[in-house]
Amino acid sequence: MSGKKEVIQLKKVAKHYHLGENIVRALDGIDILINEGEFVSIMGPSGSGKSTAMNLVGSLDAPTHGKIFLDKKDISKFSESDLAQLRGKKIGFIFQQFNLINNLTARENIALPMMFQGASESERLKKADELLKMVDLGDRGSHYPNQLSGGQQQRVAIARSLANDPEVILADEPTGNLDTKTGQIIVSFLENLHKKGKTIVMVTHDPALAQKYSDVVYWLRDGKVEKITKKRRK
Amino acid sequence: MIGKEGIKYSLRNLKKSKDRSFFTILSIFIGIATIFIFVSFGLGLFSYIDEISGGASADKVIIQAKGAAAPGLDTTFELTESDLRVINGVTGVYETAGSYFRVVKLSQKDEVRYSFIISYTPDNPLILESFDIGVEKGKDLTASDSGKVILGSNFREDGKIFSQGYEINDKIEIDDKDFRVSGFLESIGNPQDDSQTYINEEAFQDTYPDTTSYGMIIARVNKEQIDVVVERIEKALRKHKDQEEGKEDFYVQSYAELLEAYSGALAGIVGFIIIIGIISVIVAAINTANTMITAVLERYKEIGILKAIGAKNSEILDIFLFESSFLGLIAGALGILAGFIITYVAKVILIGMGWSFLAPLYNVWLFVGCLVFAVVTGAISGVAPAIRASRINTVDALRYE
Amino acid sequence: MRADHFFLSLKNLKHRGLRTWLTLLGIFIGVTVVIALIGLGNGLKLTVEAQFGVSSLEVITVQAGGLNFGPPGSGVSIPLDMDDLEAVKGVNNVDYAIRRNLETLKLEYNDRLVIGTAIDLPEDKEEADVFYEALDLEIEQGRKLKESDTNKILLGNNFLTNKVDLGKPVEAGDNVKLNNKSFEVVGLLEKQGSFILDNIAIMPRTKLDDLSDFGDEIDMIIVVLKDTELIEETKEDIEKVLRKTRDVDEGEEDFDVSTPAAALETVNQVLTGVQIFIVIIALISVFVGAIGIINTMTTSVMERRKDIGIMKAVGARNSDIFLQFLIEAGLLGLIGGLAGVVFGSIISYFGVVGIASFLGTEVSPSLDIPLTLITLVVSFIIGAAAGIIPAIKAAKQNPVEVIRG
Repeated sequence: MSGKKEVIQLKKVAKHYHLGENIVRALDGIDILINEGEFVSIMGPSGSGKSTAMNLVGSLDAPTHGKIFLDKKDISKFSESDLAQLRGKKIGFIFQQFNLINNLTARENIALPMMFQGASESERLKKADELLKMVDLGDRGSHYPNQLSGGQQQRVAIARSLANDPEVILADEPTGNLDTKTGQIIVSFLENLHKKGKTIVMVTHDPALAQKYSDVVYWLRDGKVEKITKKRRK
Repeated sequence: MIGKEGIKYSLRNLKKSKDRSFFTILSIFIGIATIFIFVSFGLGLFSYIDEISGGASADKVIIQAKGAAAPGLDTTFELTESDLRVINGVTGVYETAGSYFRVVKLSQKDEVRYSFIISYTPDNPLILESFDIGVEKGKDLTASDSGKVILGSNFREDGKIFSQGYEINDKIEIDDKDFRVSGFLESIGNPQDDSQTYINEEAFQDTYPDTTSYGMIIARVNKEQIDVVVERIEKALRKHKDQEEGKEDFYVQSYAELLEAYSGALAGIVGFIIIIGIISVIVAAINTANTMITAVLERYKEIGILKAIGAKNSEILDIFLFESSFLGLIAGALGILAGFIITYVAKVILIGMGWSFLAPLYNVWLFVGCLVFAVVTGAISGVAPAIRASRINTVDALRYE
Repeated sequence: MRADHFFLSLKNLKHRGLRTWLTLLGIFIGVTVVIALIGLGNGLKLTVEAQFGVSSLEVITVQAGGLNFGPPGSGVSIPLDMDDLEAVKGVNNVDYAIRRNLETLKLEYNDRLVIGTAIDLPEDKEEADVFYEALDLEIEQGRKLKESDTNKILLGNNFLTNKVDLGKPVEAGDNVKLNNKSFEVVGLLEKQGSFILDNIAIMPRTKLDDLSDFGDEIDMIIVVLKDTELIEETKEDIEKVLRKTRDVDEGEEDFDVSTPAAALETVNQVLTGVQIFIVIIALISVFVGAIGIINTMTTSVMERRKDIGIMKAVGARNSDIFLQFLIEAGLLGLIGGLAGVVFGSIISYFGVVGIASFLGTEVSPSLDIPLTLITLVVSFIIGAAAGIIPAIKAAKQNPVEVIRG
């Protein structure tokens, strides 16, 4: 069963952009609740606002209206700097475009979030090597992103997202830039993490993927939550 | 070359990357302004020297005794009246005049200053002519005037030499003797020359009978044969003083030679300063190259697109070359403007202070030269990146994300 | 945390390749020129100071007032005389007051002629010894002048090493002609390092008087003190006394009493002034180099928008980003400055050696440690300062806009 602790909550959240004279309503008042230990998917066609929703859930952006709660704390008005620190501790990101830093090796990329939390060099490197092993890249620590395949880069990204032992892993279209087989490998990694107790939030446009592993799926369309489906778990 | 659209495209790009363009222009601007300022001051100094050596001196030869000090002060070796007569007798010498120098003590109430006093023979304008000045105020001395002196222009103003300026007919104390001020000379333009005292030869000899050696002798000679006459004078004096060649205790130089020596030294100093200035331009060129490299990198894909729709390599080259040259042009124009304003203000101040010989001078070539220099600097800095841009592989560029 | 930023910055700089090198080159050139000019200027000052032939004894020099465009005694309106000398001798704390005359002579040797300066040697043995000591004169070849010597002279070191334009060196025992009279050279001095002293001729006073007939005129008085601690007071006492003998009022003096410190001071001021002027010009190029850093950093920030966004996404605060870029900019300045200091020091070293040998002085250029350290610190600061605004812009980036891709 899903835990009762609320990790992330979006309450009546709206996000508007100004494009010249027009107002684009990317999100028009949505409510999302993510509980501890859940595997939540946010689904929708392109333009549905799912990426925007992901950014807000991950506190990468602030809402125009509504509130966002992280561990029951209202973070809607937090400063960017404070959000960043919070983010680093509690949330791990995985992006569609991998978004690794090109000038750093795989190991260094994984160590980076720890650096921002003040960990010592030896601690960082040790943990990074552990995480590399966990994603089956133990021998590739000194490689640069441009020396790794797409799948390998995404695995490094996963390892990075675990660097600070976050509560939540946010994956934005994690398989978007990968072939089907590799994509499946990646998602099974996520499912492994889920089994170990991590909260996973995944954005995808692939319904099959969404429904295979998720406990909860939010279906978005035109900036609103169209429906919510829950999976019965044994 | 580059068509109208090409120019428009380039200018748009420069405007878009305003920050980068700004800093690049700033760099070259500083370099050019610096060069402009130094060159104009250099021109000013050279023209001053030219002026002094001007027409009035083309036919003059100066003879002085050798010595360890500034010529004329060390009286170990002498040039006497008999030497003067000998020089006068040399073929090609039209007339001669001798001038005695001495350092004297001037006093006004309780202020004491030292100055050079220079003697001349008023009925022979040769000495004053060689300085290319005339009496501006008051009367020139006559041969019979004793007890009267003419002063350099700085004596007139309060605070320049003495706290109180002198006026015509004022009394002036020289070596504790009283003299009357008969007149003032025009300003020569440098503080040294404008602070001298002039007296007629007879009066000098009366006051300082122990000075028997001329500080200098000036001869007006045949302009066309000036080198030959210089040799003749040397021979004649050698004979008269019974000295062997190579062992003379005097030297004979045409004014032109003398000034050449000064010009040479001056050119060296000014040249050195300008070289330091050019270093700033070199660093500015490096900044420009950097900017252009960045521009090429940024527009990598765009260049691929341009080539795909038919731009030739040479056209890409021209576009980038034009951009960097244009930056140079703007920077150059601004640099010249700033340099001009600064030097103009400096000029006004210097002239006001009586140091007009230091004032900067302008020249059409200075403006044109600096502008061309700026454009060329821009162009050269941009050449390498432009060539690289022109050689970009179209397909690779289009694929670039 | 700081150290991490440092290494991260270094890594980033390395990756930027050519453009980083060019930026470094700009600063490097500017700093090289500044350091070289400062070093050369200092070397020049040292060389000129050495020309003054500073001796081990602290002496006070008295000269008659005038326009000093040459060796003491030229350009003087009313020279010093024996009354002045006696008066100075009588001043408290004065051990010796020795009259000096410098005359210009024609020196002939080996069928060549040079114009040189001769200085007289006091007749009194004690004064002569003081003279040798005051000017630190030692004999390299031959011997010193004896009281009994008449037509004998000493010559400066340049005569021995053939640096005077006479075609061949002059040795002890040779004869030279001074103003057409023959003299035997009994000794040649060791190298002093001062232009005047290395080219000088020394002869007994009476002989010099014969040649130049200066009689009672004195070009300069060298005053040796009993107690050098009281040098300033003695200077004032001498001035008082001379005012009386020359009958001038205070403020109207027609003579000049100077301590070695004062004379050096003036020359130093002029040279320093010139040095500062030239260095300011050179600083312009450093300034332009700093503009290059601003340029490079601005571009760098723009290019790394994505990386900045990623870093913020994984927990970097604004201050982390700001520091990162600030340090990068500072490093650019520091590295360029370091290279510039090294190169500039090398140039100034060889330059000073060159100048010294040209002027015939013994000057050993030394490494100016404080200057070097200051320059390094300042280079870093200049770089960082140039990078402040770009760094602030970097810190302000919004991660979402960037990662959205």
